[in-house]
Amino acid sequence: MQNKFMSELKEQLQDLPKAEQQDILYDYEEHFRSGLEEGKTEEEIAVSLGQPQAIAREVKSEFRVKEAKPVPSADSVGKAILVTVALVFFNLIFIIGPFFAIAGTLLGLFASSLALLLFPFGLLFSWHQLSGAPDWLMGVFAMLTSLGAGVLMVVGSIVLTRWFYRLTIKYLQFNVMMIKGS
Amino acid sequence: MNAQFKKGILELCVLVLTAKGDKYGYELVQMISEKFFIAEGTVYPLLRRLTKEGYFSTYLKESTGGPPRKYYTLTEEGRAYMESLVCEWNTFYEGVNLIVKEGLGDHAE
Repeated sequence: MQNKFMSELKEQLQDLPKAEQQDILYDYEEHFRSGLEEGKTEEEIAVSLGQPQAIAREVKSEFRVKEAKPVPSADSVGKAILVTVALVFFNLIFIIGPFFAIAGTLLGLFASSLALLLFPFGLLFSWHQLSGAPDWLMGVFAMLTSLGAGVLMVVGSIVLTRWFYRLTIKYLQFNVMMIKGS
Repeated sequence: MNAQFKKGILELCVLVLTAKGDKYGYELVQMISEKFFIAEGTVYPLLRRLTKEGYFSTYLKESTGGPPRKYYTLTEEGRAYMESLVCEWNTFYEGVNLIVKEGLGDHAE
C-alpha cells in the first residue's frame, strides 16, 4: 500500500525538479514510518493522507506560487534604475522646494515663539522705566499676553513639526517601495 | 468546507502548534487531525511553502532507533506572521459568532 501510494505520487510529480521530488517523497516516507511506529497499518495511513493526485496538485500549485515570486532579473533591475532616476528628478523639481519652504516656515515659527517668550523678560529688565509710567498695567498685560502666546505657539509648532516629520518619513518609505517595485 | 478557507486555517494551526516548541511533520499532522478532518497529505506541501517563505526553518534530528526526522522551527518572521494571523482569526471568529447568535438567538422582539 505504501509502495503504491509512493509510486503514484512520484509519477504525479514527474515534471518537478529532481531534488524537489526527492524532498517531497522523503516527507511522505517519514510520515509512513511514523505512522507504522504508532501501530497503524499502511492502509490506514494511505487513506488518511488522501489522494496522491490531490497532494501533487497542491505541491505544484505551491511550487508555482513560489516561482512567480519576483526574482531580480535584468528587466526588473533596469526598471528599478529607471524608477530611481525618475524619483530623483521628481523629488529635485517638485519636492525639494516645498520641503525647504515648510522646514523654513517651521523654523520661523519656532523663532517667533522664542521671541514671544523672551519679550516679557526684556520688558522686565526695563521695568524701572516702565514702573513710573501711568500705564504700567498695560506693560504687565503685554508681558502675560506675550508669554501665553509664546507657549501656545511653541506647542503648535511642535505639533506641526511632528506632522511634517511623519509625512516626510511616509514619503521616504513610499520612495523606497517604488524602487523595490512591490 | 471551502478549500481556500481551510488552507488558511491549516496555515494558522501549524504556525501556532510550533509556537512553543519544534515539531516534526507527523506530529503536526496528528495534532490537527485529532481535532478536525483533513486530508493529511496536504499538510506537507503547506509546510514546504511556509519554509520556502522563511516562516519555518528545518533541521534533521535522530529519532529513537530510526532514520532522522525533519523538525520545523518557527522563525522570527514566522512568529510575527502567526501573530497577525491569530489576530485576524480572533476578529473573524468573534464576528461570525455574533452573527450566528443574532441570527439564531431567541431574544423576544
